[in-house]
Amino acid sequence: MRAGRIVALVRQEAWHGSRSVLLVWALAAPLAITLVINLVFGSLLAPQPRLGIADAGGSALVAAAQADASLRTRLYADADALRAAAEAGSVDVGIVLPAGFDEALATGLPIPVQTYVWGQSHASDRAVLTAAVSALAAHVAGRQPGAVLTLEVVGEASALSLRQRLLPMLVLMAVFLGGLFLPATSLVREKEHDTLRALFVTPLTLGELLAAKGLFGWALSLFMGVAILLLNGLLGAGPALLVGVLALGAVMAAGLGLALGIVLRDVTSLFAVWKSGGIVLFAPAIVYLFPAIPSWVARLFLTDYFIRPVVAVGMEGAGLGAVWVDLVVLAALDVALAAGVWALRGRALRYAA
Amino acid sequence: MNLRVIGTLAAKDARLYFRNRFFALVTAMGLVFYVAVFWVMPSVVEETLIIGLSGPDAAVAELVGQGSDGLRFEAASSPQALRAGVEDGAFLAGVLLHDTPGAPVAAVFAASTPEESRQAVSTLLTTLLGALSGTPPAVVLAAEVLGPDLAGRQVPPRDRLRPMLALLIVMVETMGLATLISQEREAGTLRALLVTPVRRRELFTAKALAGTALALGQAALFMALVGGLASQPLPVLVALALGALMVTGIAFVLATLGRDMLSVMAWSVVVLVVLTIPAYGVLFPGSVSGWVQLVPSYYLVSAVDLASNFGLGFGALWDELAVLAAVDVAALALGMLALQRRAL
Repeated sequence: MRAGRIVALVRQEAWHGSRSVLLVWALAAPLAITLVINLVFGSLLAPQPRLGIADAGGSALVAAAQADASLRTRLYADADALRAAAEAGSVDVGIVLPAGFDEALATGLPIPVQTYVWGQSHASDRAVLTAAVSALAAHVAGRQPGAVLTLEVVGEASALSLRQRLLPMLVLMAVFLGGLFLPATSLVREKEHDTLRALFVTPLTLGELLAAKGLFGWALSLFMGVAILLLNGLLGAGPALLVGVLALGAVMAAGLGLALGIVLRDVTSLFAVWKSGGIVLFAPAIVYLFPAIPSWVARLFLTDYFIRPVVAVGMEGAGLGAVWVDLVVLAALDVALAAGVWALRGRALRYAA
Repeated sequence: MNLRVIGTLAAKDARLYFRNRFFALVTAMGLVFYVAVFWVMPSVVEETLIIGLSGPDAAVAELVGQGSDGLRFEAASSPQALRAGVEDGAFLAGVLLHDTPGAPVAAVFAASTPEESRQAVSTLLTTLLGALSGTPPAVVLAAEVLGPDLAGRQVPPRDRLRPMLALLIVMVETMGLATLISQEREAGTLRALLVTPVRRRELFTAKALAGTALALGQAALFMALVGGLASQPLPVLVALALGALMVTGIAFVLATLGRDMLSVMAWSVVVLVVLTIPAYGVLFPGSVSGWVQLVPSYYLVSAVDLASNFGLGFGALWDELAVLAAVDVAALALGMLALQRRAL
């Protein structure tokens, strides 16, 4: 195997690939989805219940609510706008504060407050928001709390926020979309256009060809993985270890891409595999999204051995000691995949011969 | 229009679609995976905060009686059992009660509980304990519940996911149809058909029929397998049929966007991502902005959600279905125009 020929082929792949819509998509999709998640679902991903306020008289309760980190507070121009927001589910509970509300509170008498409750809000959120409004009003009225709590924290585990639960999907997309698709489509298109046959009349070996296509997919996959972690502020936790995990994951992506490229005859078949098999690649991310699904379900899927260390290191601050077993399994899977690609290479060779 | 010609062309497209046995097999496998994903999803919604209590029996009994729809207090046998319950997740928080009036009460949280949740539960407990000690409330909330009141009977996540999976199945078929047309365009067989007595209108109708039948067939089968047709089957099927027509029109447009099949696939994924956005609004209600109503798939997922999860019939869904039908007409007209100008 000659490194010079592999490098030349990688450059050729990059030159042709850069003009492919697919490559542009593989690069742009994870970034676009990051943007969509932050723009469209940004507020969704916060765990706090949502309180809407229509304040007619400049109540101090508004500022107090906005300063309360346990709530997400939104302001509305009037009671009608608040009612519409509660009906649409933009807030869980909405309260209408009339003019002179703070002065009325100062009398010490319980003040009736018109409240709109979204029918689909969780009972727990309603309970929390009801208590929060009561506590905020007491604070504005200058009353001392009826009870004093001291906090005691037990255990060491840290939970993932909703936003963090979506990130495994993004990371998997970033690493596997381009890393898998580029080598696979490149090989399949060569078969379709009969250019493989032409390549093998040159001194090029099949190993060099597969290495070049795999290397290009691997580099793209690694680059996208690093970019997506950087964009989401996750690379700072353990950059060297994370890049190592991404590198192993990228080998899996490129290996799967090569295997599919060798086995499949045409792009239609590749599309069919993607249509059905895509969900297998992303299944561990679904498990992260819904914590009620037992975590062992994710272990049934290859990509879990990649995404679990990424989550542990990038989001939970774990070190090598906590993830080495997953990394060993991931490396073993990579080796098995590489061996599989090597064993299958004959199919591409027979085709080209 | 010659119905026999249309039927023959549609049957040819369907055969072409499944000519590759591998393709047919993985299509079936994909359906199985979608069904499996549905059944793995949680079937219940936990919307009650469970707080553990430990301390004098009278104080524990008094607080246990204060439970409500979203809040339940449970007695733990000892402070150690309370802490263990909090740590292993049996309780969201714990309260160590005592006999001394006015003395601070210890609230126990797991380290895994987010800071915002700790603060929210602390506020809840402070208000409740204050009320028990005789502190009058500062405000009395006069609540009006808007829309169906689902407190205590929330739609489970897997049922909320159902419209999204149905949409994905329909949309993925769009990609299939778009790539199929793109292949025919690349191979020149579309143009070749026009030297036969087949008219353009018949050609387009046959393609629309094949695409709609493939998308609708799979989505309907999926809905049947996951219980989506148990309530209001007809409105669900009508919504899916209109949705399938819509994506067929979109597929026609997509087929003309790229130079080759790969470009068409890439464009298809972009469109798929955009059309999937409204489904998140069903999955996480109240989460997406009003502008998602500009995305046509909103009316498909909304109708399927309202019919299958809330049991609404044609009377309540007519506006969603009417918009969907209007979008169908526009999408098919645009698609046929695009095909005529760029593919033939």
